[in-house]
Amino acid sequence: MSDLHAHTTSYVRKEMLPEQTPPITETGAIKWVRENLFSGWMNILLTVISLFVIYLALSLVLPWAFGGVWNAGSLTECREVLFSFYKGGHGHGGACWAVIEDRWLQIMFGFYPPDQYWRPILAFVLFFVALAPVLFADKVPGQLIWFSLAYPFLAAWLIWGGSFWVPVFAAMGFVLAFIVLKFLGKIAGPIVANLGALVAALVWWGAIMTPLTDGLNKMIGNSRFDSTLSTLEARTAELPAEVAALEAQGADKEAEIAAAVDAKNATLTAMTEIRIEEFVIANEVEAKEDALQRLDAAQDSIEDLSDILATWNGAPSPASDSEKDIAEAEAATSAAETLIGNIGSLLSDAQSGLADDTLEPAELAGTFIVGASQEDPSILGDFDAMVDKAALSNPLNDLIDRAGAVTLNESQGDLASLRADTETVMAALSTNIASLDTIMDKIIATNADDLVEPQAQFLDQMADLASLRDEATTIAQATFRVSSEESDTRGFLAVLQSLNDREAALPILRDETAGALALVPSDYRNMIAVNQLPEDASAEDRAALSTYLGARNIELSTQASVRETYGELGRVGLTPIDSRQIGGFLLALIIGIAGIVLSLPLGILLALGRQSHLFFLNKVCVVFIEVIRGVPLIVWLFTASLLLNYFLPPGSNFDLMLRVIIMVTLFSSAYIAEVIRGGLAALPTGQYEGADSLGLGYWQSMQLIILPQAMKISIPGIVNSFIGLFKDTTLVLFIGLLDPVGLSNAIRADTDWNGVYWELFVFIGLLFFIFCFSMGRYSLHLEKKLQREHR
Amino acid sequence: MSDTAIDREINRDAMKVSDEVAIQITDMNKWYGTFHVLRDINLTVNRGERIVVCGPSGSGKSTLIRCINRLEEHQAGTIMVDGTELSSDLKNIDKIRSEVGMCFQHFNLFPHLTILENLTLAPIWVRKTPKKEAEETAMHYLEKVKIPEQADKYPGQLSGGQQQRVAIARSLCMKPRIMLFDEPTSALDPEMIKEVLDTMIELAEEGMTMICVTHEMGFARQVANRVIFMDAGQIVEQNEPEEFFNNPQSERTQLFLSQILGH
Ligand SMILES: Nc1ncnc2c1ncn2[C@@H]1O[C@H](COP(=O)(O)OP(=O)(O)OP(=O)(O)O)[C@@H](O)[C@H]1O
Ligand SMILES: [Mg+2]
Repeated sequence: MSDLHAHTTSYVRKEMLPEQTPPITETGAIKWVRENLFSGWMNILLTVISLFVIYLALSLVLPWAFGGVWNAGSLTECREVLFSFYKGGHGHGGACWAVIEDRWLQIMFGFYPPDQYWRPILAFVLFFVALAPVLFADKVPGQLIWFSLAYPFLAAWLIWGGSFWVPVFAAMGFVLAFIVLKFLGKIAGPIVANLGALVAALVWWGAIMTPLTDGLNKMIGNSRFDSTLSTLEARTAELPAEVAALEAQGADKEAEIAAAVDAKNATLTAMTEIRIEEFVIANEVEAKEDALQRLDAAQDSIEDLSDILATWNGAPSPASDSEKDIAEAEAATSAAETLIGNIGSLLSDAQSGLADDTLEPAELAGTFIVGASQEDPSILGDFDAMVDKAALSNPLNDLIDRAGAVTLNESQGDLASLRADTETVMAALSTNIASLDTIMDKIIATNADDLVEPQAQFLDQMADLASLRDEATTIAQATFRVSSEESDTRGFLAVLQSLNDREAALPILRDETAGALALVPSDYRNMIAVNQLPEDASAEDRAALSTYLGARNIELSTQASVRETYGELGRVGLTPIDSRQIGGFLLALIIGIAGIVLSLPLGILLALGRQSHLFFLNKVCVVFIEVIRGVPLIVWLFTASLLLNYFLPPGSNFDLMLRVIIMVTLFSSAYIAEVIRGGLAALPTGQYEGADSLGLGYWQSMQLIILPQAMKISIPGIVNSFIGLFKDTTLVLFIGLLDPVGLSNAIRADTDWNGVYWELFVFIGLLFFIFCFSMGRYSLHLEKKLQREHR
Repeated sequence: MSDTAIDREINRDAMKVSDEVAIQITDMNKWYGTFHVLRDINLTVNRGERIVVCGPSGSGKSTLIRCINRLEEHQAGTIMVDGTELSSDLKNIDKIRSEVGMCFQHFNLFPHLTILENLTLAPIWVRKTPKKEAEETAMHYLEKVKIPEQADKYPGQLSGGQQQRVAIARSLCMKPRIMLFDEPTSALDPEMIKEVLDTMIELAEEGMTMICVTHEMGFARQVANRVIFMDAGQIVEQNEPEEFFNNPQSERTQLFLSQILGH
């Protein structure tokens, strides 16, 4: 075999040809253009078509986007600005970005309190810090992973607020589980250890955490009681004055704004006056274009009529007395008659339009367009060159007469001449309109100089107005904050003052409940509603149960209210934020990021489960994946929002957002599982055997050998799922959460912005695009990086 | 098949066979579904023995040695490795696997890890050796297989022969007492075969217990102390190399040898 090799090598070239520079057409830009744009006829054609399409798209979008208005308080004001710069009358000439300027914070944060915006922002920034050890493992210190582990708790605390120990206690559940796992792992098998860890965590969260937080709240609350009470009292005294001051400020601002609006309107009126001549011509053009359209329609009708008469060779008459022929002839007759009627009415409408709604050129020139024609005398010449009104409308009288005389027996020749004459009038009218357009251009040219100053002034005024409005918004927000603080303070003061009474009442209430319970027959004692009683229960029993239930209700609600009061009083941390206040892009990000972070590990476990040889584990995973994948996400979201309530114990308050996050996570994990399963299947069995033969256990070989490679293969699919998940978060709109699209509806519901669609959608689309695009880019980068290692 | 010349002096004196039993297979049977792959296998391997297993394709050679470290499960009979019986007890299996090294036809290196990481992985995670020490051992074995300069490369950047030597080194890093080879050279070019065989010979000279499925008859003749011929799932014949090649007993062996050495 090696002999053979020796033979073959003698045919290898030993001396290289001298190097030559390639011809100019094979280098640099020219080569690139030739190869990539113009190689072959078909490709030239495609290049040209693509360029044209790109041009078309950009020529529509760019002027709209860059000619947009940023300073305006409403869609109407946007249109005023666009109008004063000759940018189309119907909002097509430029975008109304002012709506974004006005509402972008709302699109980003929903109804999150503005003075707390720093919290989600901080959480978002820290997210990248937490991500660093995962994304750029080779570039950051390893200890950062501890921060990544703590991050979910930190982020939840930042976003929802509350006492700082709540996330700490929640995290401790995991720590406890881990300790139990390690400990039991040493003395018992893995199954026992895992179960033990699970039980320990559940016990911690379910039975220990609540009393612990309650105790802390109570301890801190009691120590603060007096000082809080006096602070609250002091605040209740101060706050009304603060509110009043802010309200006064707000009223001042409103007055300023009103004045600014007046000034702006005055400028607008001034501009309108300067442009008044344009509007006269515009009216004239409009009326004439109307007439032109009618004539065009009449002309079409004549053509249709002559077509019908031509096919029937004169007035339609049945070819035989068969029913079908008679019916056809009748249909044709009635169609032709309708057409004759239309021709007449269209012609006379055109005539009356011209006669009533247009002016003599001389009148226009003499009365209305005086200013412009003084500045540009050639305008007078243009008017002189225009025919009189009568010259346009009189020929129509003749046409109307002839059209009135048209019958079904009209000759083709007559119809043709009628058409030809109509076209003559139309041509005259078009010429007329063209002259008017020329005049319009000249008038605009004469106005241009006069408008420069008011236009600039108008823009300035709009900018001033925008900043005034910003200030007003700030004041309004402060007012809202202070006045809600006022009502909260009052409310809390009242609650605090009654706290001792309520607490004192608790044992009494407890006794009462116990006493009432004693009167209920033992069979009925664990019923939770009177209607659960059997039909034949005596009236006494019914009364007893009802008394007991009532007493218990009061006891429980008092207990809960005392707990809540202590929770508020003993809070050391951030203002709590309700999930309902979270909306917009923040909501999409929370759901998206939580879904992504949680679904990856779950997806991995599911994929491994699906590969497992353990019968039940395998089947459970398969069924889970197939069921979740086989049902639309929106159905799962509705399940989360409506059905889950039926399965949860009554009275339990399970945050809707949390439910949505769980559903989205489950949904996405099913997809991730399938993607990763593909990656696992793509690995050669040799990898499993290699790992096994070295004595690595199952989890070790998964963690060290199999998953890293399978994940590498699955990266594009995983990222694809993530991008899908992130975009799907907009579906929560349908279960009443305020995602960005939902917010855009809310913004449109405001009369100021009623009718703004494109600008909002473009903005929201852009936000999503930025995130999805960077995810896609990162995955490409990762693929390339890993490709270098993995061949 | 091939018969790559081994051009160095082989120190057969160093290869001592002791009386201690390393592997004891008694009445072992294995089925794939209803297909009876291995029939009544009885084989005793003493410590220090170098055994070459040969036989036609599909005769069950791979299956036999894969049973020894439980990559395949046998259904009847017993396999004792170093006095531990192979059963479905996971602890036993992992223990035996870490004592028995195995080299595959297609190397089965881990492509996402560097050579050094490939070598240190099992010592660190299975033997709980400190990283530093594991790396020192790894470098030692890489030097032994003569490719220390490749430590930081990835498997994909190495030639087939180098990869197979890395695979051998990887097994050696676990300090195994027994090495199994499943056609370690059959995916390699002739030059590379030699590199790998040299490494294996060195191992033999150090007294490693080896079971080697191979068609390298030169290797069998000069290194093995026993050659086993398998056909249709049975051990048809086993003998010392000299006897085996010069004086095969069964007809099937004769036919096989004439085919493989013929031409
Ligand atoms: N996983 C399996 N399932 C079913 N049959 C199998 C399986 N693995 C191997 N076999 C069959 O078992 C028989 C023995 O296979 P084995 O791989 O042990 O042969 P071999 O002697 O190593 O052959 P070769 O020289 O080609 O490697 C073959 O007939 C093969 O088809
Ligand atoms: Mg084989």
